[in-house]
Amino acid sequence: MLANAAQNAFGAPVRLAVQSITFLLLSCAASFLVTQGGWKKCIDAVSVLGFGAISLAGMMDLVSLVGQTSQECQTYLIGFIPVYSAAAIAGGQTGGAAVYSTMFYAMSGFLSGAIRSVLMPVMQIYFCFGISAAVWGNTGIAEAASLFAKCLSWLLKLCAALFSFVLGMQNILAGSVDNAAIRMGRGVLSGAIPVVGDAAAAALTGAISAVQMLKGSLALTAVLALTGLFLPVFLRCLLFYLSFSLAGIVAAGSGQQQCWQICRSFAQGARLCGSILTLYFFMVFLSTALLLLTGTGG
Amino acid sequence: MDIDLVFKIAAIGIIVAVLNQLLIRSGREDQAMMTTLAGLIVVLTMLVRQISDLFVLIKALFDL
Amino acid sequence: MLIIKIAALVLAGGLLVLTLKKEQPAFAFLLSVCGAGAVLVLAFRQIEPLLAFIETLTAYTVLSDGQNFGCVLQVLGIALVAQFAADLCRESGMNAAASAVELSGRMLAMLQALPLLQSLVGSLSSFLG
Repeated sequence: MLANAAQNAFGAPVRLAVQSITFLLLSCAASFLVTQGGWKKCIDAVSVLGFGAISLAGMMDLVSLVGQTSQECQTYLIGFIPVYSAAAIAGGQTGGAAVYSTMFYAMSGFLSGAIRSVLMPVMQIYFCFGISAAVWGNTGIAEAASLFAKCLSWLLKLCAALFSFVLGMQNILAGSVDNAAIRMGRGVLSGAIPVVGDAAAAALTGAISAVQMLKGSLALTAVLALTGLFLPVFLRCLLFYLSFSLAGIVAAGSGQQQCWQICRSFAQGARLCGSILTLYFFMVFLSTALLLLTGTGG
Repeated sequence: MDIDLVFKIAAIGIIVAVLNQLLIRSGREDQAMMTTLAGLIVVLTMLVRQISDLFVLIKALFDL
Repeated sequence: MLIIKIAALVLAGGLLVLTLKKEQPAFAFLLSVCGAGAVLVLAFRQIEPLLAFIETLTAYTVLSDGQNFGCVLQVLGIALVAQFAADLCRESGMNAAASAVELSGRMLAMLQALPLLQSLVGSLSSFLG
């Protein structure tokens, strides 16, 4: 089962990497053979078309997978939150449970819906603009593509700020003064976009202390299930980013500017997908950890 | 075969040129014209086969 | 070495063409055509054993709907043949025909690349809609 999961996670990006690098090398050889200006442009245009089709097919899968994952997470949470708040109520923490079930539920529902209906379409539009910019060489379209990337980062920052605000309010309403969790939350959310690596590293040290407190709790199983849901997709995003960077290196090395442009914008897109996923996951994780910290007090 | 063909065509061409000059000098210009044409047709038949081989090769290489 | 063979061949061919050019320009033209064709055949015969290798490489890049690098290869073939034909036209002094050959070559290359463009636009529209 683990091998199957690994195959699922790693198969598509590796295949994409092999395909794109082979394609780039072959089209470099083809452009060597044609020296006259007009024909060279013709061959370059056709090879960019082919490369764009390959990359677009790969990224379509990734974007639909991210949307699907957030949807699955949301359905899981719909099942989990009533159970957890009931357990918290039975443990005597009625206020915290009420806060948890309403605000967290609303927040995660809002974020999952936002991912599915706003962020993913914007991401798709960004990819399409990226390809069109490279194929038709229009600087206007390239500007539009970078504008979409900035818009995505801005949206992510907005969601993170909104969530940190809700987290703070949840904290105040639940009456907890757990500084560690707040610091952790702030640290993760300020670093989560778009550089995913720093966020994961910074949050992991804080997460380890939280996990120790979560041991033997209901929340632990939930968090583990969510991790199992997120980790393959996140790894896939990371591998896509790596394979696109590698293909970009090959394209730049063989002098194909437009293919390099496509690789660069798609690597950016894969990174943004990864950071969206990270944001969502750490949100859920931190809310649950926070509730547990307030709950164990009671 | 192809390298020899170049020299064969060159040889035919030189022979035809010499014959042409001889026939023109001796006043038979129409026969000179016909010799030239005959030489051209011979060379063309030899060449067409080779050119079609070349294009078949290109077709096989590039999958056209 | 093959390249030395080719250089010697075009050297001899050029000399013969110059000899024949004044008296029999038609023969000179046929001779130069034959020389160019011989050089091309010599070069392409070298690539022929690599054909199977190139086939496996192109098989790696197969897209979901069957297009692959073979399309780029076909456009490359059209480009090379059109370039050769246009140069032949210019050699015999038919500049107009040379431009016409180049134009038709470009059009046919675009036609060949059309399925690739269609698949790209198709996946773009399915992506967005």
